[in-house]
Amino acid sequence: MQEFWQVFFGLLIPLLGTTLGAAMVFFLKDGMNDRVKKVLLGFAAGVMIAASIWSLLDPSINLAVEAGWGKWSWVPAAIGFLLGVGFLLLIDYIVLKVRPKVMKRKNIDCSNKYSHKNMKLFMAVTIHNIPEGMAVGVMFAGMLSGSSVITFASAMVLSIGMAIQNFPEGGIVSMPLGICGEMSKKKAFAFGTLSGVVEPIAAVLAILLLRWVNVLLPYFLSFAAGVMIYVVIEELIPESQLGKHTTWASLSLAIGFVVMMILDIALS
Amino acid sequence: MSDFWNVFVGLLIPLAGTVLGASMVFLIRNNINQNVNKFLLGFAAGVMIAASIWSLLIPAMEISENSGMGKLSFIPAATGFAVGIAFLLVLDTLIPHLHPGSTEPEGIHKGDKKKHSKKSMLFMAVTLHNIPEGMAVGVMYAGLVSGNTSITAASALVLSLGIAIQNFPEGAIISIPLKTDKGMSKGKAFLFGTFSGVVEPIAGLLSILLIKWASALLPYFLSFAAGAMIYVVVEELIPEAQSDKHSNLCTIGVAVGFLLMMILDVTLG
Repeated sequence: MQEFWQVFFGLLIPLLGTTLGAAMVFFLKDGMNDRVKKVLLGFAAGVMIAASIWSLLDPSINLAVEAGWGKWSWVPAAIGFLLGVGFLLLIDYIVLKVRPKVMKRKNIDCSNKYSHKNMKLFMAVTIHNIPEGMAVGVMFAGMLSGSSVITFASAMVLSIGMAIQNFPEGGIVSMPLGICGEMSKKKAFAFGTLSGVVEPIAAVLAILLLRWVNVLLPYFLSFAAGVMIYVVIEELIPESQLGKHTTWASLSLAIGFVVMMILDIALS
Repeated sequence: MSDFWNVFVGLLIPLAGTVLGASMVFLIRNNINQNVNKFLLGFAAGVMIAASIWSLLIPAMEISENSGMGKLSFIPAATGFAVGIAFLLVLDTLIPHLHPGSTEPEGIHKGDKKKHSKKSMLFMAVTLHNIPEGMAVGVMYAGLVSGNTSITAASALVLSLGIAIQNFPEGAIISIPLKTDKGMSKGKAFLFGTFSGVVEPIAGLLSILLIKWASALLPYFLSFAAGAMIYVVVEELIPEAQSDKHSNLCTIGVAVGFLLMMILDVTLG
């Protein structure tokens, strides 16, 4: 039963990040303070780089070593990683190329009022959240499988890292919708939250899938790593290094990285 | 004596990568296609991320653990990493430099263009970027020479090869625009590209000498080099590759470089 609650909270924490971010629509008139945003993005990037290696790739390789792959134990890790990056590339290619451009907007720009752009952004963020939710689910599936290479602590760390990364995303969805008068603030908040609801759903599906095909765990772990590295390289770092306050972003990235590294060493 | 040759070859392999890359200036007529450039920058970033973790940070923590630090074995790694980032941050803010392909100088004396010629500022940018890589290789070999069991000749060679591979596009990225954009002669552009790589064995040698003298600091230096490399990735390579027109090639480059380094480490290290 304890495990049930661990998974339950672990899956809901990332959603909490989105919800809090979406709630910004009630407090902020013209978007988030740029410096705070840079610090958060940088921190999340640092956490995710460290997490994808220590929490995902290293365990994936170790699982393959345990399964007797020997010199070839990098194979599942490499395949999964490539699939993860490729999957998000494909999603970005199919869904829209709107997202990166819109996300780089520093303040709310209401010039595209009543256009479909803001709703398209909602769709893009939502679809993006699916693989991110899967990544969290994979970690908890690994924990449930009783594998010694994945602990509750390392799964939690990934979950918290995702939550931090979701915070600005929730706001990015809700704020243009609410502030530009396209809909009521409450409705905008609901949309923002909704964009994050897919995460626990995808996570539960990943857990169920892995229960059924446990052998695939190393592939899924590295798949999740590919997803995270993609998000870091394609979104978090470029956004955080754009315009002013880039030093804050770099410093908080270093802090996020070190915190995650320490958590991994100290807790495992 | 075999140590000497190990180190000698290990320090020169990365330079060979730069020299070969710089020699592309003789073969390629036009400027590098922007998409290729993005891919190459991403590739270099991927190699450097994987190298700083598998070749530098993990061995740094292993060494501390072997010296009996137990749960606290992250301390040298965390300290060195943070100092490495801070060190490059300070250099980046203070030293006037100009990135190839950019017209906006960075560092102090921003408006004061007369004081530093364009060429010297370009040189500074590349040097800033290559010192961490040289140090990283040097620190690994210092560990090898000191007889540390966490660092083998193979793992040092992996890092050296990884850095050499990512120096190849770097050499080309430096020398080719110097010819096409800034109007240098082929020979001069090649020399400039090669020069940019010469700082690497120098920085490597200095790190070895320093650590011979203070070998207890090895884990700190390993992670210091990791911090410096991550700084270059985060502050320069990725933003540069993701600027202007959006392209997925940078991300693909990161994935390929990262995996290559990871595979090298698992199979050889």
